[in-house]
Amino acid sequence: MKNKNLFLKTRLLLMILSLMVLGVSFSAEGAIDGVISSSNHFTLTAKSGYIDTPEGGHLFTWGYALNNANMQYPGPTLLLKQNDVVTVTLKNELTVPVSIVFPGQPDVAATGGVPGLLTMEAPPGGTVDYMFTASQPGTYTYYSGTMPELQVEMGLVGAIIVRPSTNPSTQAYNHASSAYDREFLYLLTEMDPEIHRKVSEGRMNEVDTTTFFPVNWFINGRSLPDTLLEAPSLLLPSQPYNIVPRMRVGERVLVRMIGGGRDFHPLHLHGNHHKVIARDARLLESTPGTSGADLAEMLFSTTVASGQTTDAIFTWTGENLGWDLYGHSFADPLVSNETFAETTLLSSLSSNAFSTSLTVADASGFPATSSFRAIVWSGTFPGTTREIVRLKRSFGNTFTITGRGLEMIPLTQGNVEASNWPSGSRIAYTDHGRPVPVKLPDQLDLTNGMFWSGSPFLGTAGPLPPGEGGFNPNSGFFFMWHSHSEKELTNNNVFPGGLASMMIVEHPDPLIAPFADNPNITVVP
Amino acid sequence: MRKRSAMNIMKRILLMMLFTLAVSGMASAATFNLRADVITKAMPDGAVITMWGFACDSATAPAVCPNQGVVTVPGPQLVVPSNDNTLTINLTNNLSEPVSIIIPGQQQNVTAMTPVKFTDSQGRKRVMSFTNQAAAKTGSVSGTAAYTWNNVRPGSFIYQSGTHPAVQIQMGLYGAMKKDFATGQAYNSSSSQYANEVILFYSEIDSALHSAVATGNYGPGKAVTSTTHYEPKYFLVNGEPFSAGKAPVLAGLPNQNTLIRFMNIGLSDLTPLLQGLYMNIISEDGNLLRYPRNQYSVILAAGKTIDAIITPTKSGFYPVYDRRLKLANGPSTGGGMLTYLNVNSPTNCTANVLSNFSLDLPIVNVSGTNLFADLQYVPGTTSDIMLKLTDYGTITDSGSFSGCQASTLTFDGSNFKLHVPLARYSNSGFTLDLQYVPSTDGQIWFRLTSVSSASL
Ligand SMILES: [Cu+2]
Repeated sequence: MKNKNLFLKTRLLLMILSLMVLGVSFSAEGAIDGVISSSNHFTLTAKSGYIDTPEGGHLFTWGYALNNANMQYPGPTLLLKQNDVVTVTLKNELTVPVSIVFPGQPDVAATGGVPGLLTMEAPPGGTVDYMFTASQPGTYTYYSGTMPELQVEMGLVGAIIVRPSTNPSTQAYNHASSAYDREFLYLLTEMDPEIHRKVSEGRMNEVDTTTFFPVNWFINGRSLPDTLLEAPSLLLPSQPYNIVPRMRVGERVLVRMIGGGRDFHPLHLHGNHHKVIARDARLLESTPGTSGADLAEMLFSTTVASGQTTDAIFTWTGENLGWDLYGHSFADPLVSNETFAETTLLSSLSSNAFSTSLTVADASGFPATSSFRAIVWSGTFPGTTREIVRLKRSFGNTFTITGRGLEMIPLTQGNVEASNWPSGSRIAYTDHGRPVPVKLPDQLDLTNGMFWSGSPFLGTAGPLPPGEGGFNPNSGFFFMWHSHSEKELTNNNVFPGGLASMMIVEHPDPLIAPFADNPNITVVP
Repeated sequence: MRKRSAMNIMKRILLMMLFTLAVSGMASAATFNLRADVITKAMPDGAVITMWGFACDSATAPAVCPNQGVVTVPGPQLVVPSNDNTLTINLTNNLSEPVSIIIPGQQQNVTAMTPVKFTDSQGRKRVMSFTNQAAAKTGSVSGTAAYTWNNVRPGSFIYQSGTHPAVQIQMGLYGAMKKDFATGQAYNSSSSQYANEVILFYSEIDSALHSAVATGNYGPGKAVTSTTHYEPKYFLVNGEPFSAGKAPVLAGLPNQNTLIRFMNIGLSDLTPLLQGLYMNIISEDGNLLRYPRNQYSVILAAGKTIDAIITPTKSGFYPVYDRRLKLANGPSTGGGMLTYLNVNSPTNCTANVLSNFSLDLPIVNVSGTNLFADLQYVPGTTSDIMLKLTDYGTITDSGSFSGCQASTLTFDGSNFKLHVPLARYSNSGFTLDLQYVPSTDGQIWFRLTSVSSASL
């Protein structure tokens, strides 16, 4: 017990240290780690080992190892190209028969081994070759087809990504509707430690899978906060994959979700809805093969069902939040994506005329209740005089100035101050110059966070406690992406933990060097 | 057996259809006389479970009773003819408590659908049934009730008890009900046309509840007072859990549309997964989807029905199993919600290698003539595996084996050799090579000379 606590403390300390490193360097993050074979021949060895869970759990696990490497959980993510003719050789170093099934792959030919219920199985010490053609792109899974109700629980599960022949590095499928800037894998699983304990003690015949009661939950084989640890990590030798999604404002992020376990998990992506474009590696399209993801669905939680795969596009611009996400001052020039609804004034707006109206149709694009910022100008935007005012809808399509010359600073251009806007001037709804409200810590506070922004992006600039503010150099904004089954935010009854990670949205300023996707890809012959 | 060719079967189906149409011109109200009764069901591990089920004792044409008079779980499949809008169920209750029948998704005659209440020990009125009930059997007098649906719409539905459903549905009071839009077409869309049909009706058994009910230990103040601690031990497809040697389900020929009606009356959500195939999911809860969804798996929530169409291009055995991995019978593996779809000719060209080994082979000889040979394994005293020719001939109707890979028969001047490719459940085909052995007993014998897999 004492040792375990010491171990736990050491691990936490090491983790914090590595998080600090991560915060400074942001290296080895992004994209999807996995294995590529130049000859399309992968050798997976089923073997046993242990995985660690953040609350101090140490679970006996079966997994697919790459060649003779460590047992890993989940198995290696196989990175394939469309039409690859793939051979997966399974070697079995376990004491029970084992196999691999590849749902979604047609005509898998299995040679060697002995027949099982779902495919040919490798007996202990034996080998099976599985061959298939990865004819369709998408997100797939593989797992043991032998006694799967036990062996999947024990860890014999992994992911397959088949890249399309069209734009394989920027599209998930052979259609532009699946284009993305960055991609991340969410292979969701769970474990019931009781089953692992019985198997490790050689009491496999006492396992009753109908009493399955999971208390640990994983993304890519790790639980929060280990999900945020670097990948690979010396601390987690059997769990080589992490999950730290990062994006720059406005990018399209492809989220590949796989239900690897026996339970459904509602994956909730904070920050915005996501657009589900494919299930089971098929675009949601009205005319298969041509229409693209025209039947895509907007969701804020996706039910990640067992064995099923779901691809979704997430993007985040901060649009319509009412804050300037770019940290501009009012005097800064507007950037092109800062104005939202835009139209023409139907009546003049000036110091004497406090209200103006828009067409009913155009007014529908403007906020209905809260007061908001608008930019008014004439001529060709933004080449003429302009002004930022605060407006509020008074009724219908009529808007009244509620702020002008107070916190609002008239913009000037060419030393001409605008103040009178005749009917026909243009107006647009904008968040320009409105900082995100951030409560900065007191100077005397002892803060425990390395991610206090103290930055102009996504927050108010201001003095921070000594030593703080240096760990989020790209001024990222954090969203938790997690299971919405809140019970799953624990590690064996210890909160917080479980099926969660953090999405970091970073500033799009071209002066900040865009971070590189730097996946850990093992290339085998 | 070659006479029972696909062509002949088609002819028979056609005749049946004509008969059905002729009869249905006269009557247009499907009436089923169902009986709720007790049965026991044996599980593969030997457990005997007391269940409540339905029997169809009689039906009014054109409705037909499947398994007439036999209590089954799930209950008899009720088929409402396409041109029939009215369904009537006359229910006779032989159980010790009142029961009823509802069909979620079908509108019952509104005036009849009145909740039934009882007064509990604290004087509170509480609902015990969604609709009128057939009273419990008292002495030799069974309770009765009648239910009518006047505007039956096409689709796949589950009929089930509307009384005390937490217990009665678990006990087995459920079954499939379906109506097609037209013959061979499930809904009002050509996308739902099918040549073959498979029903996969999923349910679960929590044996603790069944034994409590059977022994009178369920109810207020008794050993088991609620169904809260639901922990099913058996996972059934069409009323049976999988166990070794269970026969595959015939699912048509390659390149035909086969409709799969998925139904789940268990209390857990499932994910049936087709290995090696995609399906077009065309409907949910008896409602046609505007566009089919092409997936290899489908979320099948408790109480739901989903229809999907598969069009396999190759013959073989395709496993369909619950990916939530309810694949055990109690603590024993190799059971539960697993089914093999046999995409093949009705006269099967594959071998049952588990017992009573026999081969039923379509053969193409060198000149392209379609032959067949039926071989039967005969245990002998030597270590050789010997098969006796039991039937042979020329196939005149090639439709009867279009799903099979033909075996090849060669003659090298002195020996006849048969090379037999076989499909296994796992689709991991293997081949047998057989050699003719001259014999004096008047029989034609073949000796097994090699198997591509050591598994036989
Ligand atoms: Cu949340």
